[in-house]
Amino acid sequence: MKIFKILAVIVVIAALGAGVAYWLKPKQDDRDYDTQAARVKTISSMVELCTADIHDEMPIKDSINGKWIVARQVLEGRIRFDLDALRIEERGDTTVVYLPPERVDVLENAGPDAYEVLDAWDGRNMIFTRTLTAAEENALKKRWQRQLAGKIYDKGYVRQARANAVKTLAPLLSAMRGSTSGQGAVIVIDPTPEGVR
Amino acid sequence: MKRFRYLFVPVVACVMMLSGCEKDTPPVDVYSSLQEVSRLELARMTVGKVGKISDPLVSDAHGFAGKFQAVVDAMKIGTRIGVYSYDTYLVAYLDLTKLSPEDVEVNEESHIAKVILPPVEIVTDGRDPRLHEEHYRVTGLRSSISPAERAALKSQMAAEVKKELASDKGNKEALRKEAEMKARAWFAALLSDWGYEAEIEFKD
Repeated sequence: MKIFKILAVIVVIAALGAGVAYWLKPKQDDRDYDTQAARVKTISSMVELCTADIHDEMPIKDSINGKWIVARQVLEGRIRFDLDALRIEERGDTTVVYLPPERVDVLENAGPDAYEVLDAWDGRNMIFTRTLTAAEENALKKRWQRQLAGKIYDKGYVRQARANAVKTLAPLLSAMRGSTSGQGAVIVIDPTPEGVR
Repeated sequence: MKRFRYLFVPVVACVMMLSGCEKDTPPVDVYSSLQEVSRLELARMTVGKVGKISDPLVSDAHGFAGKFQAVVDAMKIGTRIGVYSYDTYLVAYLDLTKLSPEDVEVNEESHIAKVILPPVEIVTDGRDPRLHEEHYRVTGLRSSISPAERAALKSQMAAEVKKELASDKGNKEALRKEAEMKARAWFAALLSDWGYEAEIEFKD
């Protein structure tokens, strides 16, 4: 009977010791996740003129379905023009080129520190709390992409990029056309200087 | 009455400070910049990467804290696995600021246009912000996979992608060749429309 009491005391002490050790355990070293080697999915060709690089780094506090997140994200915006869709008209000796509509692309910076979650919590439940799912987080990220695209228009970056595109294309196409050696002039016209949202 | 007058200013100040605390502050731009560029982008490469969040085995865990956590996780009831993927994009381009007027030579008599283009350069365009959940199985008494864990996984994957791409000369060469082919085809078609036969070369 006495031996059982001693064993019980040992078990209780061991359990308490394990609990205290877990509570006092040092911060876990950086996790090493299992990953597969990167693989090339596609290589595709296009002809696009990129005239603006926008770098944006900002803290974000946002919510979806009552779940909140505070994060820091670095986004890269590009303003591009599809030159395969370039409209060219010959008017006598003059070549008229129309600048196509722009496309605003927003991606996350490819660096390891481009996205950091600072806090996430369930704003509705104090107990049985729900975790932000990957699908919900992706929906939020889509929203942040759209917000930056809107900001790019609001700040006048598109207008600036379109002006830069005209400035780049005019001498390039003039040289190709032979305008410098006496052939007809090339005029690049921007039908929508403020861009098309 | 005089005593109340002395109290008025501090009370109003406190109310203003408290109302300021409750007010939702808009997101602050930490850093935002615009850089004008003139890139003729000709080819894009999509690179995929897959990673897994799960409990590491005791033998795979690093350090005392990692091994301790692995032992604790092994005693918990249930399974905890999430598999995620995302894409990174590389772009091959010509920097048009490096194209000078002397690089384009048009001969009206022979109807030959000779163009010497700058070398094709490659840049990482960015990555998909979204992390695609390929598989998710969290059962028993295990906790859900958190956004912080997914961000940590993506951070590790990004560091690995950077290293892997730096050493992957073969695929970058394929991207460069694709860009050169597209440049030749596009400039040839443009010059052909204007009645010139194109001779396209690239600078070293």
